[in-house]
Amino acid sequence: MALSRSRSLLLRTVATGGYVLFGYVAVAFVLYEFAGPFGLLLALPPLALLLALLVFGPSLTLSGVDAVRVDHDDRPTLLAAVDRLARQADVPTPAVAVVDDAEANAFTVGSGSGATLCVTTGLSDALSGDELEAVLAHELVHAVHWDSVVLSVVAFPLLSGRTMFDAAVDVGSQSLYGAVFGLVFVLPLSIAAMALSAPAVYLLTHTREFAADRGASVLTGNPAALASALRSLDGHEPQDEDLRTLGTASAFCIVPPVSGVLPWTHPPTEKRVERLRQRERETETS
Amino acid sequence: MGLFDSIRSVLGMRAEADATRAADPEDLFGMSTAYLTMQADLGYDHVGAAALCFSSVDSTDFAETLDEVEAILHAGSEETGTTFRRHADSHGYQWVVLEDSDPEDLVTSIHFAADEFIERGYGSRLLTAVFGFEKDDENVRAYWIYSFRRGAYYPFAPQTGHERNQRVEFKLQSVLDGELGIEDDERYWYPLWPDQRGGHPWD
Repeated sequence: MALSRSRSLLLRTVATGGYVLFGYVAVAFVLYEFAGPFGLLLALPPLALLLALLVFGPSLTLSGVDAVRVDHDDRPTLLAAVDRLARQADVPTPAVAVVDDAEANAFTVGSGSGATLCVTTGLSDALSGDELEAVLAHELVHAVHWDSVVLSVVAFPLLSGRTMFDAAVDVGSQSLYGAVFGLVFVLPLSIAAMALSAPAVYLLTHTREFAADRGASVLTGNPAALASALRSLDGHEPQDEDLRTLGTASAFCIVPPVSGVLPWTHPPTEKRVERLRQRERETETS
Repeated sequence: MGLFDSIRSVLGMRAEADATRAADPEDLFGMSTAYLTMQADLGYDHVGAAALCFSSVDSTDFAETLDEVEAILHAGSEETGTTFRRHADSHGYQWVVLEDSDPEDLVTSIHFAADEFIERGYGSRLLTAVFGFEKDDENVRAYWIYSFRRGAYYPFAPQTGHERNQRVEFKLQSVLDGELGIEDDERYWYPLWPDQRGGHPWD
């Protein structure tokens, strides 16, 4: 079964991709204009760095978090679930690794058939069977969509800008020449790189998360399981105090026990759950 | 919570505004089509009963209002066959429980009763209207609860041991959204736990 994607998600991905590619081409053009063919050579080291990031990044990440590769003998139910989902998505089963961490989390490193799905030990403790499957499906869709490659390419200017910024501040504080060089040349460049790429990174990460949620609910056929997984990971508890025990007086001026005040601290989980509600609705009424 | 709600919270106006928001008894008619959607899209049968929960007032006027409500329901029962009974629960709340195999008649009767309370100035004594559904093959019970204080509906799917079936509630909310005015702040989704195992909230 092919993974369907909503049009707006596709449109946003294409728009962001176009913007980022335009950025890369624009940089190459500027280099060529100012320094001729030699200018293009200047672009080689960063490109090599990006390539190295793509090639060696996954294994570095895995060893960085002490992820242990598991197979069918170690974690039969976990692997069986991944197998089932991969078959449903019509892709080869990705590698699965477990991180010994009480905090519930899951992530994907690498892309396509070289991807590794990582889950923490805390995740399987925190979630029920079909909730865990929904989270695995979400991660699998990240792998199928090549999200880590896409994100690396898009976020590279942001990361380099950040590194350059730190370096400029560091060098600038050490000598006068360094300060002049850093302030006049590197600092504006790094700020420009960060400012121009940050919106793209923000938009793209959000879009890809929504797309992975959508793909996951298609794979499992159970949007409700993903929604409840997201919520339990977010610490959401259902209201369990009986309406009638609030007391006659207070029952009539029921105000939620805890009330958040700042609207911008609202977790994105609610937005994701809202979209899953739409999926659920489509599933049940179409 | 939107920006407007936050501003009202900060200004200290929110609780009062929320608590005095008037319920509209016409909202109850939303259940007529909801019964059809529950059956057609989700495969839920109605349990043949619905109930109105209220707290009484120790006054002659309120007693007269109750008599009036009973008279109306009695007249209705002769016409539609909807039976009704009064019942006090362990929390000190009063219930009017209506039984009929036709959900349309249940909705009409609940509306008549609620409207009478509101007309006589006792709208603030009304707590909730509760509509019951079940899926026999999966042994699942679910309720749509209309809160008169909030003027909105929310789903409630109790399981044994004071647990809520959040999947069922999620499904009900997703599918009925737009058809019923659903409470979007889930902290207000207060349960009405049945007194007995396997019983309804109004039993």
